[in-house]
Amino acid sequence: MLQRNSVRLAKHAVLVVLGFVMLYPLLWMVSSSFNEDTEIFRNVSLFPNAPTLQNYVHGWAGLSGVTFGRFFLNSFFIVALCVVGNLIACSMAGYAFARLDFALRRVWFAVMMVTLMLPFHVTVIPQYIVFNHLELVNTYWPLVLPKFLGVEGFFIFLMVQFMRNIPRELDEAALADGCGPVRIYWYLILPLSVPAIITTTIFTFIWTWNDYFSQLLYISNLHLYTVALALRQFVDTMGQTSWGALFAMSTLSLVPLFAVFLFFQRYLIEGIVAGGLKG
Amino acid sequence: MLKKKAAVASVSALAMLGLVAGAQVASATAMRHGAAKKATVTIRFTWWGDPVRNKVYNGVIQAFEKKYPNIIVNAEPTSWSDYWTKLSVQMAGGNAPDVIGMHQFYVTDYAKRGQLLDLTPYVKDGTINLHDFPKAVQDSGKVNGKLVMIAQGVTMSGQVYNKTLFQQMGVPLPKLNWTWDDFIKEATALKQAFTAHGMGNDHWGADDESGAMQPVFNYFVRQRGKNLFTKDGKLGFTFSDLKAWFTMWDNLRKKGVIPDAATAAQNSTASREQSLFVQGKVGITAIPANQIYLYQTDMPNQTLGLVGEPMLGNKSGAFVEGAYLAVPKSSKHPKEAATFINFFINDPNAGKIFKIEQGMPGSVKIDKIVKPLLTPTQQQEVAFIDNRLKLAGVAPNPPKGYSEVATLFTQTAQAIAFGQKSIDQACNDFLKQAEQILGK
Repeated sequence: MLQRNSVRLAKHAVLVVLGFVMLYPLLWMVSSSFNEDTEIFRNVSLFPNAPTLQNYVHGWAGLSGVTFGRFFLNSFFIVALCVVGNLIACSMAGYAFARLDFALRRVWFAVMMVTLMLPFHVTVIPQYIVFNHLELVNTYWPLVLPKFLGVEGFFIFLMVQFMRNIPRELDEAALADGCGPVRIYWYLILPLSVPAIITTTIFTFIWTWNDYFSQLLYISNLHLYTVALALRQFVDTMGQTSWGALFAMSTLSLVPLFAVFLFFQRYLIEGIVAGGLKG
Repeated sequence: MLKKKAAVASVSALAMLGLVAGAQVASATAMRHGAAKKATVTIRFTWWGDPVRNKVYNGVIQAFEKKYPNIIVNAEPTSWSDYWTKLSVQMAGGNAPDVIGMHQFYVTDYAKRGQLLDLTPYVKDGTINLHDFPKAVQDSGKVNGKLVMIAQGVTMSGQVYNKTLFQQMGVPLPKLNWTWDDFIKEATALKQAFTAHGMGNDHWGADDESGAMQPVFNYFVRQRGKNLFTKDGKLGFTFSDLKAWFTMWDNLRKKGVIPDAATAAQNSTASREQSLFVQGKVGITAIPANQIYLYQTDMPNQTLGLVGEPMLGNKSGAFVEGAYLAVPKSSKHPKEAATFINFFINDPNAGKIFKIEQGMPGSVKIDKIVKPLLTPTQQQEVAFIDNRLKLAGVAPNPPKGYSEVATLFTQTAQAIAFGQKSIDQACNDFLKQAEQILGK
């Protein structure tokens, strides 16, 4: 008994040390955000010499008179639209692939899977030209519109896999009760797909929140800047980098991610397990 | 039936949510357009910068809008590394801003593809006034005889040294016009002094600059009467130049005057705040003169000095560098863009705000207005550029593929430093691969 305990103790010690090593950069960032700018690279300790909130004040003041509050709102706005778009489009497409019978279904499914494998960078310039012709550059449309058109093959695939595992008998029962395809989708499939829906929500949230490249390309107006874009403005290799403000705002930008993760964590694991086991 | 209605209602409610949210984006856009309607023209202006620099640029824009109420300037700053990624997509998409910050490293790429507007007509009709620009500065904005960019600031490369460190170690200070022999002597003396003080382990005389094709090696080959690249975009130097260069640095490395390969490689990717020079671990490093105040801010307890790139005998090889403004061909308002550029470079108010943010003003007149407004560090910088400008010529702008060749150069330097290749073999490999890149 004693021996088993000591083995467990050793295991935990190793895990704690490893965890600390992995967390160190993050902890260092959080601690540096309370450090004075000039102290940041001289002080390797995790505890600031003279803790200050100056960085948060400076950082929140933002860029050229636009505060970080605005950038956070912008990010939330885009994220919310993307989540709604993905949920509507991907669940519908997933339902169609999983349940409905239409011409060339297998071919379309293959096409959808191919878009999943196509690197984003291949389509960057053609997409930019299209949105430029539509005069939608420098608005949120290029970031949001595609989500409503179901371009996220990954989530469609996730939905398809999940919905295929919902017993067909339920459909037949609904059919016998007089439901059409739309009502089956709405009353049967959607409520039973909640884990997949939540998984989609979380990942869309995280990916959109962290997305940088497409936001960089499409958004130039400072008032439309997102958190990711604004953060990057603090770093400039040709000039002065405001490390303190950067770390302070980076810390804040992690809060929503952290909150979403904490809140949905339970569902997230359920969703993946449910999808994975039966699929 | 009732249920069906409810379902339709909720689906359409979801769709509405999307539409309403979308409409918000649209109305935000409309608001901006509405503001633009009152004025006659809106132009877009992009540059690379950090928040501190952006404030300066915004100040210039405000001054411009005050003087020209019929032109509105939309600011679209990006940080240096993302700037070029974004610009290349915008250029390809035909949607680049009307006025763009330009740099020598990149100008040939854009000019050769015909994406930059020839500004000569606007100079001829007086929209852009270049009367107060020295010829070397004017010419530095030309590609194939076409004036595609205008200098907003001129700078020259130099070597910055840590005066405090030199004095503490009792080593005589580098002189403004020094030679490579002096450089080797000074750096060696400093290293010896470090060793004598028991600091020889992690202190070195000078930075390892062997991987810097631009600007230090460029100076080196120009002193030998050549250029990095010929006008038609081929390599301008030969095996013997390359070998002499790498041999010189390799000897310094073997004597421990410059950092060992691993330390140097680490230092080359470190941020300025964490570089060996700012930490006071090396005495000399190469910088563009306009960055000296950044180093001085990072090192408040040390005094810094600025000297020229080492010379070969009396040959300096100096050339004009700087930041420029250009107008893309796709611009719908080239006239207003030219007006803005002219204001930027010639208006005394703009000069007073911009000062020497990107180096010394191109216009001699503005230079005189700005000088009294500067801090001692900045005055040191301007005096240095002023002095060097007298020696300066124009180096051909780097050809397409430049950045690949520059990366290859750094890799070659590192292969030699780590002893992976002999100098002869490394030089041969470099020449072969560089020609392949440029021959594409």
